Amino acid sequence: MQWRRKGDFMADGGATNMILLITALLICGAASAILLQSWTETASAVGTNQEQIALNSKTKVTFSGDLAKTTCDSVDNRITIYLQNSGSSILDETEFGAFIDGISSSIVGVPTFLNGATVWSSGVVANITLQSGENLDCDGTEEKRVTAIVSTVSSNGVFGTDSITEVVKLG
Amino acid sequence: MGASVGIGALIMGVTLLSVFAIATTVISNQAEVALEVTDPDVVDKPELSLSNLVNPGTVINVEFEPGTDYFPGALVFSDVCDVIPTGSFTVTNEVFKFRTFDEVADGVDPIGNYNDSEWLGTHPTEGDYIAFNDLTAEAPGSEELWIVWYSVNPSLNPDPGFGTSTDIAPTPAGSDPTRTIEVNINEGDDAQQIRDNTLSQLQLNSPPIQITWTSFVTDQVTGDYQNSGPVSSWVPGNSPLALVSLDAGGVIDSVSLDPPNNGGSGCSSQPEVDPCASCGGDGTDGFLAVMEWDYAFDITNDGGTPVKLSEMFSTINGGATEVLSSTPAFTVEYLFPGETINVVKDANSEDSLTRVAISSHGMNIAVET
Repeated sequence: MQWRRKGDFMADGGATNMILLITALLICGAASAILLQSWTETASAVGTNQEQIALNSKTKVTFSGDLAKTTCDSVDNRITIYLQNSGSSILDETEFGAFIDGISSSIVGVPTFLNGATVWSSGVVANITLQSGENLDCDGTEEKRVTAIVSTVSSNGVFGTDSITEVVKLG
Repeated sequence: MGASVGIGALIMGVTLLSVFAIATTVISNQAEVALEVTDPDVVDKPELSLSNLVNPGTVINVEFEPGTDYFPGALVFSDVCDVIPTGSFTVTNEVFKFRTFDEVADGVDPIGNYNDSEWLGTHPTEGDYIAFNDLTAEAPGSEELWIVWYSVNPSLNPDPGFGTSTDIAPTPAGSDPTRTIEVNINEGDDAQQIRDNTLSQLQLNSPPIQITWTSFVTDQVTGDYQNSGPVSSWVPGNSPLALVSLDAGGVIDSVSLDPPNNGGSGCSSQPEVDPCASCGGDGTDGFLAVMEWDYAFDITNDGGTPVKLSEMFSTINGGATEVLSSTPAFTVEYLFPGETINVVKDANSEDSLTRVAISSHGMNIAVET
């Protein structure tokens, strides 16, 4: 029979414990890293979403001009609408969509701004001519439902949007 | 071992604290966004009202038809303006050309003359006359009849003895003896000499005839009236003298708006325009006042927040939408709650005001007259 000394038993147990502890530390570190990464990504996604919501809340467009006498061209089937930036963010006049009675409408030319403005900032009114896909009478009695969709310029890669629909009388 | 456990706990603690910090940040941001969404940073729809639309007009021009037989004078505008316009019109001057005696071939001289001894009996020019009216004042009835008569001068020395000279001015009805002009012509005078004699006598008269006389071709004289207006027709008298051409006077050729009032102001409608009572005419003048209209109206802020004037837009008569402006320009930037601002649109429009629309941040109102 071979006797082992007490210290020998302790050395065996210490090594095992060390292995266990190091393993635990590694797992703990990995879990921490994964947890931090996932929370960071989650926070980033939530942040982007929040920026989107925040920018949307700052984006507002309203109709300007005389809704009952909207400028109309029966020859070219075009109507001219005036849209005011009533939000606090800058709108992008090139990112604009419109519908006339639910039918997609294209923009004729480049929107212009009243009062000498060069960008569609808050309070500025844009003059936009829409091409109708249908014949327009422009006789002062024709009513059309016009929908305008606007987008802001990019803010940290996020765009705010807004839309408005009004019934206007042509002529 | 204890140290290892401590390190592990530290790692986990720091991790959890980081996660907690991130979560707190996210929650904070969400709360902030929620507040923004609840109270979005946009311009609220203002509450505005329109009132007291007025539409004063001003005459900027007067169109006309030429007409005939007009004397220059003032325009009379109907009383529809606060300040009645004042203006006048001018008419053309009459220009005429007449031909003196034709040379008469007598069969003896290569060029005939008017008192050739070969003529028998009464010489063809003896006592011949013409008449014309002189426009001495720019008003109807101011014409004065002048007689130009030709006499074979019996006092020539030696007296050629050409028949019997009348030496008496003819007296056509309405003529004034003081307005006769005697032109002496002599034996052998050719057409140019007679023309020049006529011209010199016309230019020597007293009182002066208000006609500028000039010679034209060999046997013609041009009369250009210095006063504008209609002049009664040439009277050929008993002579063979003939009117060659006539550019009529009394045709309206210009209209102007003159001081003190010029185009006036505050016209409620387009005034009727007539020539002055003493301006004659055939009634075909067709004077038409061309108007320009200014607009004025009041805007009241009935809401609870100030409204920026530069963010209000006006649309007149369904025309182009413009930034709200006034004449003179606004001296304030905002229209505060309860305030009313008077907007004078010096639009100089050809049309009268029928509809005004105001819009601002989704508020659209319109008023029709």
